[in-house]
Amino acid sequence: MTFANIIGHEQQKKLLRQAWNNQRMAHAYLFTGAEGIGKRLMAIAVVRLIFCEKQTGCGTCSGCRRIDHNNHPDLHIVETDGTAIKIDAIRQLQKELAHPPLEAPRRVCIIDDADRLNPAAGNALLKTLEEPRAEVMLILISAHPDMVLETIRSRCQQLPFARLEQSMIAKVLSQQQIDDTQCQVLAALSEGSLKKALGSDRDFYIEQRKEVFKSLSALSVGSIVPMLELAEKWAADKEQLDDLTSVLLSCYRDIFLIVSQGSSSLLTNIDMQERIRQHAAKETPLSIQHKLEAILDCRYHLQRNVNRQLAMERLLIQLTQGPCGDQASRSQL
Amino acid sequence: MSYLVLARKWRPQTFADLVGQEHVSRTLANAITSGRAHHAFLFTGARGVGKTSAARILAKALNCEAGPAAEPCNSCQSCTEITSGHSVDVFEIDGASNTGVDDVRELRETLRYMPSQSRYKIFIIDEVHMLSINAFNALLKTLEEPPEHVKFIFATTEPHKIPVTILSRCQRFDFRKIPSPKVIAQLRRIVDAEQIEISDRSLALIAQRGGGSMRDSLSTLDQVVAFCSEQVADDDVQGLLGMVDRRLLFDALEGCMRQDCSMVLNVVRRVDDLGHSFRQFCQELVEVVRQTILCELVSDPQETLGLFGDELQALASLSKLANQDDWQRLLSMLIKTEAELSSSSFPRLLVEMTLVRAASLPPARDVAGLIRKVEALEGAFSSGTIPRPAPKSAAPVSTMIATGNQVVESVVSYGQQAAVAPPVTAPPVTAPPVTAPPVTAVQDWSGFVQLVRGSSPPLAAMLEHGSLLNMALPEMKIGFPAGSFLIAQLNDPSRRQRIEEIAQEAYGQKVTIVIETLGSRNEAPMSLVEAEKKKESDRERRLRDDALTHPTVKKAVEIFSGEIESITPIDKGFV
Ligand SMILES: [Zn+2]
Ligand SMILES: [Zn+2]
Repeated sequence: MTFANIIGHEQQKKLLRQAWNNQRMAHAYLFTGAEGIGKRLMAIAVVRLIFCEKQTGCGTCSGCRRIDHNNHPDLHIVETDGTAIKIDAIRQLQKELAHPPLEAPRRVCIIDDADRLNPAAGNALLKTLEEPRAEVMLILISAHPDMVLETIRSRCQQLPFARLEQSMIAKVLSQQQIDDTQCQVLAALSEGSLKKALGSDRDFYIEQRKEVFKSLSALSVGSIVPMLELAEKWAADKEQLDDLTSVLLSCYRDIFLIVSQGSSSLLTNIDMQERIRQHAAKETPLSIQHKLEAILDCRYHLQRNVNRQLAMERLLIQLTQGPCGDQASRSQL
Repeated sequence: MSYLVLARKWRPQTFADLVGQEHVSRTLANAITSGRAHHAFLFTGARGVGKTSAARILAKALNCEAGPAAEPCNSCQSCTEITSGHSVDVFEIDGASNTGVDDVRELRETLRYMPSQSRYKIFIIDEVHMLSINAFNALLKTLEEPPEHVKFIFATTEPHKIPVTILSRCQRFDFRKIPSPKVIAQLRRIVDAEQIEISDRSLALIAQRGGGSMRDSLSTLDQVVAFCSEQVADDDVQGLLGMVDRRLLFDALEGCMRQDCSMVLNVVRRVDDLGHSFRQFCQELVEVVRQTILCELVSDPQETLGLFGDELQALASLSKLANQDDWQRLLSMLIKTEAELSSSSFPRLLVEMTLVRAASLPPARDVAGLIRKVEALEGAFSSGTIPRPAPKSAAPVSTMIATGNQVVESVVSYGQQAAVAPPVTAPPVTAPPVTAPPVTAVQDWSGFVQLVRGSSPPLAAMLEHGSLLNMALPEMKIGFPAGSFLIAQLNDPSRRQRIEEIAQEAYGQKVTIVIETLGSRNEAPMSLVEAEKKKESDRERRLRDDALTHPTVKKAVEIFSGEIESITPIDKGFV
């Protein structure tokens, strides 16, 4: 992985390259930004730059190859053991960092998901972060920097990574034999994460998205039984709920934008415009905001493992309310 | 070979270098020179404000061969060894890595031996809050009977995690966040010494990002210099800090205040296209709104707010778009959103929702006007002396909505039409204009108390305990039970004057308030508090029924195609 292979993040590349050229690489970085946009790839690219025998990250020298195969003795990668990074991992790391590098000019440690450092581990890392051995460099990575200890953040140079622009994702997708409209929809739905756009969810996003919205708009206010059935059907597929709710969110955001007189170029589901506009005619600015909040709430609860069936039923009740009744149902539930 | 970051290179080596902690330096220097140095110190304060540096300086000053002196000489063997971290008598311990009781036992073992070269054996324990409770207990024994030749210096960002027994045995020093001008001055010294060209404005931005922490500020400066090398352009700094172009911020706020949803949505799109973080965008919006509010309030905004160039002028014209209430309301919405953004997976959507909501709100003065009218009407209702208003009046819509927030929501609910049609300020159906003859509705006692509540809830709370004995304008006689402390309270000239002012406004003539003591005879009408107790039982149900079936409410719902969002008792005493 070299800088050239990473899509986007031109400013971050330039910044790291400049620091390298000016010999002002910091000893501790914190790369921040959403999941799946290339932070870790960038960290690896930096390591290659430092370890490469030709100092280019050529990819062919033994230094580069050993990085790619993840068996370079001077590269340490710390990850979560599922839930957290614990103090043992940090103690182990500190032992290793205490020795001079074996082959490369520096020892580099990448700590992925640094927000998962538990308090003991995070505090134990502080001294290392502030004054490590001269040849040590640490790169911390986090999609939730606000959950990283403030005292850790303060000891790192923070480098924020933006989500990838939709056009950039669409361009990558278009090389994969997907038609233009679908490219655009997918790019908008991916929330700037290439991992998401290229992932296994693609089929769901393209094919089932219309189905989801259609079955939802087919429900009328009083039709309790069909509603319960739909809730049951949706709740059954646990793995898909995250995608399902983000699809709903995208449709309702479109409605919200239409109701708020936003330009139609802002819309995500451009292939479903007609149906969405029909729906928008029935909403008021307030009712649509409540529905968006209902979906966000639902996602929040699902992440906390509530009864899925219950969560979906509640969501559907809220979504099928007409603009006049939604407040009442909110207070009941 | 490796580059030493500025924060390490410029770590203060004397108390004089320690920026922004003069109160600490002075006390410590005095203690050392007078030979009355405590045996245990606790340094607390935010990250990166100089705690560890101060601990090392103190260690040097205590052990300096030319001392003990107020400042270390930094040239004797002891000083240089401490600076390089090689002193045999100064132990720097990472509290977070040595948390156990065994670690402390080991430490206590070494205490028994006299220092090998210096005056004191000094233990600096950083992140001391991470010690286990057993470790603290082991430490406590030492602190209770410390050997003469030992000094402890503890440093922590979280003093609340340290047991009281330990706290009480330490001399505590609270390190402050460093004020911006001091940070900027220190940055200036450093960049000059490093021969880096950078403007004051950029340094101010860097200091602002540092949030009162010298280390954070220096990290940011490092990052800027790493990118720009020795010549730093303002634009680069803005870009590097991910600062949002001020034009975008102003456009967003203007859109909110001009109630232009599509303008607001366009700004959000531009912010996204430029790759800004929405959290940062929101934080900067908060800052601009704060400045907008303050620039009207402080006497020297340029200086107080640290504004550069034409920023003040821009703020002033932004501020004119709405009144202070509107800005305050927007500020609280943005602050709430900013907090939610930290954990949201849909930052753009959240910002869109908040800004569109802000742009759909009617100006706050309209809402405030409504509330005032409603309150006047409530007074009338509660007495029952006033016939219920004819269903034509629009005002009772809002009797359904009590607190500020709900009013806002409700107004929005019919706001779609309202936003297109002329705003709700003064619909023709509303009865008397505010300036015209005062609110004649206030003819009874509870109505009056209600009115007082509008401008001073504490005063109203006092009046609730009184009864109206006689109302013969210009005199209002109010009675209180004998011995009530409220009599003295209300006879206070400023309070009485306040009530008289409100009464004058209500009745359109000068009013004199007379506070009387009630005799034992039971001639006085019930006070509101007493009346309230009687009514309490089925009040809620009646209130609800009344509200729902009230023709005015029904009509209002129809006129505005509104919705009844909730029924909230507006105030005790209102039935
Ligand atoms: Zn190579
Ligand atoms: Zn000395």
